[in-house]
Amino acid sequence: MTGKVIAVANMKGGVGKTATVVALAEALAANGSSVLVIDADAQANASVCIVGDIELEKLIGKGRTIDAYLNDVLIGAQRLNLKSCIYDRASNVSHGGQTLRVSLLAASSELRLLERELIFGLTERNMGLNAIVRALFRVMQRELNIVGKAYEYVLIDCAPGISAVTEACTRLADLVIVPTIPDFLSCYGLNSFCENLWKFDSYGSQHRPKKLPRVLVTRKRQVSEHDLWAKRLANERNKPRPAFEVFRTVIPEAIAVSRGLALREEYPTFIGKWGVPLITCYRELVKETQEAADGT
Amino acid sequence: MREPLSGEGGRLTETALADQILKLLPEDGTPVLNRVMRTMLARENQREIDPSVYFAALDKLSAANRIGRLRGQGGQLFALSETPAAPPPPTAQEEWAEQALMAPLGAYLGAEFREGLDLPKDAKWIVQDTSALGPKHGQWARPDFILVTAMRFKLLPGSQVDVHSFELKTESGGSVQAVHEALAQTRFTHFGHLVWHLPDGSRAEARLAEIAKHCGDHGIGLIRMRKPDRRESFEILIDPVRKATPAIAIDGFLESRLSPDHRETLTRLVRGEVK
Repeated sequence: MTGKVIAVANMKGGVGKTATVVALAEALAANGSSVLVIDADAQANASVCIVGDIELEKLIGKGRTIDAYLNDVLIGAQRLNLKSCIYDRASNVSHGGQTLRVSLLAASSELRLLERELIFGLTERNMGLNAIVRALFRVMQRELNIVGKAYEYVLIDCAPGISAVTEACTRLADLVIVPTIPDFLSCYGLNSFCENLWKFDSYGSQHRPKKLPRVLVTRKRQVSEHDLWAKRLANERNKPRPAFEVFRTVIPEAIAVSRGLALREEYPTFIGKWGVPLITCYRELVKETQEAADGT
Repeated sequence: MREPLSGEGGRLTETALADQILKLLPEDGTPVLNRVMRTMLARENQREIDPSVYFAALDKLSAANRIGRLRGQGGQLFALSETPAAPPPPTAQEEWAEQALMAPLGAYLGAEFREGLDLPKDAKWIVQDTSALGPKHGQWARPDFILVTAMRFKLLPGSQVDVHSFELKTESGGSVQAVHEALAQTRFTHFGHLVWHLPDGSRAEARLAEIAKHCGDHGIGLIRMRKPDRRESFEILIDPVRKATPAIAIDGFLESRLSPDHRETLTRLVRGEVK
């Protein structure tokens, strides 16, 4: 059975997508699961946070990245398979004396150029944007059906904005998590994001997201503005046709998050990396994520 | 980083793992936690490392004196450096180098010093050069010699093990700080000794009274080596006081410092298997 696919996406940048992916992957692994992280963001921040700069350079040098794979399979010689691009047991973090079972399909900055090349190359073959997304979807779906069996969860770190890769990833997902800062601008973009991805139906019903996205309140501070917008987000469930659901877990703004993400060349424990207050949040997030993704 | 191993069914042998461990360990002897080493190996091999194979590899390296092991935080390991060859004894005018003093001190500890302890006939003892063992970055954690004595009783159960540590100083190296170095080593041993090569008529004798006072104040033994090549010239100036060092600290220290043969001897003795 293929592992549950969870895409972490938001049109807005800086809301904590990468931090959510890295922390959730490690929290799921610390809870005993095997996790594959797919970095679908050309900034490659999730990749560098998981394996560090030096190992990422090596992966890029060997062509073991998502962009190298997609380039090969969609417009190249079709020599690669996704499995050979995955860095198994990539994590530098341990828990209970065991190395966390987190593997990585890294990204490089070439991913952004690849998307342009794909659009250019495939439109020359008279493919429209929808067809390109469908092609990406099919390729990713086919490969995840193969490699996904080795993992209980596949987490995809999507790039900000709405790109062809992001659209394909959100349609592949059993669950889409939308990290959102509880403030005016982040919530304003949220409505637009949900409108674009969940209600736009030009791909055919088989490609629509399986369930409503789940908003995760991130970087919340103890200020009235954040309290107000957090309540407004939670109130979405009372609408006649809610656009999203909301996690009960709230991730606070904490220096421990940026400090934890910076521990790239060291070998911390899971608890030492994030600290007890954040670990408590992430454990709650694991429970809710499992409930939402597995339906348990 | 190796090529991807996803789906590879090959089993890592303890020999292959031992080679990788040696490559990953810092050459300067800095200790690495077991959990960190296992994470490094998992990343290197892109697969989980079987704990039984990992610890078998450690045992193999430990038996070959390639690594030392420490207790705490799930255990640590460090690379052992090879002991350099002892230099020849100096001429009369030259100051004895510490390395040249090692062999005479080792011989003295195994003979006159040990006899002076007045151990029962059936007691066992071990003298080991530990000057090149232990983490290089551990502050004052590497005595030059240790002497371990073990005895069993006729009526009472169990055994009594005493561990002595010896810090050796050259003529110019004797100082109050050296006393504190010997004192620091008693966090792993019961008795701490400072052994000072101090020939008769040496100008360093001016420091003797102060050093002896500090030894007395801190319960550290002081042994004077007058002529290193004549053991009868060695003199115990101050007897040490037994420290109440926790057994777990001493146990971990011995585990990481004693050679496999010595470990075996001591283990058998405390179990009552050696008569």
